[in-house]
Amino acid sequence: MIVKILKACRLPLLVITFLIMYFPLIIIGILSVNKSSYAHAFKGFTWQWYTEIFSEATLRTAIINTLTVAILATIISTALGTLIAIGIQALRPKEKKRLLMLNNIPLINPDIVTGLSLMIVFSFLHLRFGITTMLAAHIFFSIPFVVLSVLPKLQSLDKDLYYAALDLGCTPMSAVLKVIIPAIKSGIITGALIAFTMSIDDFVISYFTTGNGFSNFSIWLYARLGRKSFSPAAYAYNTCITMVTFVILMAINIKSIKSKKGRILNEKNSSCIDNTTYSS
Amino acid sequence: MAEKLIELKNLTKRFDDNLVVDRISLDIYKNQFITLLGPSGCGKTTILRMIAGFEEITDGQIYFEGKDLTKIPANEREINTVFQNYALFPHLNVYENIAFGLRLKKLDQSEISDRVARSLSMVKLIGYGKRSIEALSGGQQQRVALARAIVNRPKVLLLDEPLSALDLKLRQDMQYEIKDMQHQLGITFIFVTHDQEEALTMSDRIVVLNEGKILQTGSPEDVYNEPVNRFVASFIGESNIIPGIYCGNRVVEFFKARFDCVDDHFETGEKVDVVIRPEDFEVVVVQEGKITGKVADIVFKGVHYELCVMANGQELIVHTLKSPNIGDIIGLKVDKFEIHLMKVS
Repeated sequence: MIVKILKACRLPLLVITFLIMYFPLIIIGILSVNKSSYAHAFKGFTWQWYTEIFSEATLRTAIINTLTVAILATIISTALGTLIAIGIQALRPKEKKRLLMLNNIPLINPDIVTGLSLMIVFSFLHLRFGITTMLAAHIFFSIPFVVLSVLPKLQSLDKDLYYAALDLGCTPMSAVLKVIIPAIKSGIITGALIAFTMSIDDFVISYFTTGNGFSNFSIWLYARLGRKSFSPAAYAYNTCITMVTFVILMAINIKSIKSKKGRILNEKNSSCIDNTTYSS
Repeated sequence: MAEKLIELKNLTKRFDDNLVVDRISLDIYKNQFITLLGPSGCGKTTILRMIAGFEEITDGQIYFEGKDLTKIPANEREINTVFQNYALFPHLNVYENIAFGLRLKKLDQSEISDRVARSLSMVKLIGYGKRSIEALSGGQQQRVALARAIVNRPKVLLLDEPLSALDLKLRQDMQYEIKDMQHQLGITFIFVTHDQEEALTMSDRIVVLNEGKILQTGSPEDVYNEPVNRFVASFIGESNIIPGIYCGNRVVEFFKARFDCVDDHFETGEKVDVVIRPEDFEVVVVQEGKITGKVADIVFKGVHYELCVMANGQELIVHTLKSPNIGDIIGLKVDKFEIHLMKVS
């Protein structure tokens, strides 16, 4: 009886769960096409805010700043994180474990602590607060994520891969560039995506490490929430970001389904050929 | 004797406090199939990796054509390796895996495709060039690994237990193929294995190792028929080892009987270990045999029966085509050429 009731509840429960999860996104989506600039009333449909994303000067600057920092932080932290992961992988198990623990501490450290401590460090060093300090902070908190996404990939590689490259004539440097890095490409891409995401939506650490009027989108938003200078173009920008994420995820899923199918087909073919070669 | 190609002199390797290879000296000749045989942990793979240049040597020298090899980095040695788990490059297809070494040598396209095609045909994988590595079976990956190494025309090919991941039937086929390949290429193969049967089948020369030391070097026949000690005798093939006493004049006493033998490099009255292979016993009626025993167990092995015979309180393994019953008292006869004496170790 109970089982029956539970079974009947499955679909409604699923719908409710997803509604709750996506409700905020839907609200932002609705507000982004609301003619009124106030959130409490819907006064008709408009695309106006979407066209204003880049015409509102301060918002445009904030978005460009966000993307600049995110792209630079992603490139630099991915490069450094990958090299660090390769280095960690080459260590003995005991040293590796210790270093990994050091790598994980910034991950679980609250942002507020990271932000504050970075601010103190930067002011100690007499750095000019602004894009450099914010970028440095973003690189700092992104590296551990890159390391964590590259390491498992390295661990799954045949440990002789590097030696095979040397054996065939690579110098140690070109062995890493020509063999190891291509072989862990998927881990590096995952790491880069995480770094980019972390950077693009960071507020707390950015807030502590910026200065001289350099603000990214989250700081811009925080400064304008509930004030006259707020523009609903922010909703439009947010909705755009959600849509981009959605499209990217769909593309990745479709691609992985396709490549899985391809692999199964390939295996079938090769096992047929196998049998014929070896039975003869 | 053939020309010397590689010379190991007092080669030693230590990992921390662990002595893995202990002052090994060995000459390896041109166009020879030499096998380093030993149980896991005996240092055979470490020796191979030192020759390849992947492991630093702790002490001793390696000479290659008379030159000190340790001064040459791994990527400049005229040596290629087939790795245990193949270590194929997962991001490259079969063709690019094989062409990898040639591209580094900056050969021109036509020569590369020519040589890749030839080595693909040598490993019987014609038409597989565009396949991805993941789409290949274990046996095919093994072949690609071989092709990738031989395409570079090394003077020495190192093979680190390359067949251990394959199933029995495929492994046996590959043994003959690799042996053939060595004949065709006319280069030196250094093969590492813990499988004594593999070693006997493939090698021109076998080096038996244990605990980082060479115990015996010789042709498969030598090592099988005249093992130098208990370890070699029991590691290579099945054998019965019986304590005995050398009585001088090519006579040995064991099981309270005297037997003629062919070994004579012992002192009269010296204790010796007598090795008799299971297939060298002849099962006869009690009156005809110098050894008498009771059949304790019998197992059918296809070609022969394997008997476990209790004689003078010792278990003997006997291979025979006859099938006595459990509990039968039988006689055992041994030809004098099949009795091998070893120093007691």
